Amino acid sequence: MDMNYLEPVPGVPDMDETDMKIIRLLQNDIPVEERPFAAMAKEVGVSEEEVIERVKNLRNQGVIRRFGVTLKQYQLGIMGNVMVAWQIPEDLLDHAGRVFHYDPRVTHCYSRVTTPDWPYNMYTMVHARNNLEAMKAAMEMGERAMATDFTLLFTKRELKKSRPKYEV
Amino acid sequence: MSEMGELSLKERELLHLLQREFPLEPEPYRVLAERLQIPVKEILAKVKAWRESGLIRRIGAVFEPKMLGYESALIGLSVPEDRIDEVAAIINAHPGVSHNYLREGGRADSFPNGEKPGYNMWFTLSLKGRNVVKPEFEKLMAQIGVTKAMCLLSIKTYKIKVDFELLPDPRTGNWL
Repeated sequence: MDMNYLEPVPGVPDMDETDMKIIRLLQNDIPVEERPFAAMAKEVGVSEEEVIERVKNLRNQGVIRRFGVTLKQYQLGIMGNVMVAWQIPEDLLDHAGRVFHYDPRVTHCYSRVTTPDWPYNMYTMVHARNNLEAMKAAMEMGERAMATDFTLLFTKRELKKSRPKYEV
Repeated sequence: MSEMGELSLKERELLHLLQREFPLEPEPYRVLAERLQIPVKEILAKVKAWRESGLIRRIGAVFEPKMLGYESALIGLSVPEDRIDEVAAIINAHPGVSHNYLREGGRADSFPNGEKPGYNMWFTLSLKGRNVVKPEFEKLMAQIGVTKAMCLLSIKTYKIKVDFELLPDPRTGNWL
């Protein structure tokens, strides 16, 4: 496989030691308290306002993609999900990407390299009330995406699911 | 079990704001209390209860790994049934692996020779640096002794959005 296929990586924005301390601390949940940033400010050694300004700045730069609560899908009644690997004609990848992007049932969508025995070039995670609905959703959106083929990769067993740890 | 059926519209509004418009303010819950006309103590109690019940999985920042200088790939492995636990233990212990799933293989008729490649273990490998994932993948595969494996680097990200619509659809009035 060609290394040059790698997705272009954006330049990492300039961050000082204070930003990095905040990023390290924000890898854990903020406390459920009236002033959730107070303890962090104390630990970092700056004011609460400065912590918040820096968090806003990191969000505007895209280092923080989202700030808020993350809900458990299962508890929302979204009990079905499937990873779908698609075969999309090369010149329709952006079209398919748009279809998947605007479909609320899709949480992740990437185009990826293929291998000789694995011809799928696009991947989505599709969520629905149950696995049957997820499968129906995949078939419906695949048609709109003009996919030529796809394969459904249902979870048989979760071997690991943990919060990623980033070194900064 | 699903908790959504038991939530009031007010509670859905609160969850919606917590998810999508969490106030970056010294007292975020007070801002929400004023917006929704709910006492701040009640909001804090609800958030704590939802966290206990598991409806709220996390509160805080979701990072974009690329912006922290990370590179990642989806890796598919063909692991014989009798080696699954042993191989999973090695992979799961790797600090660059946060998610790993056993999945059903692809459809047989998708492949020219009608034979499934049998990729059954799927995980993401994320590492800090440039052009680091592929060599680490090769090292890991050599260590495990699995020969059928693929490292699927991403070409383009079209979507990452792991929040959900909780409010009724304005056209149909239906909700989740």
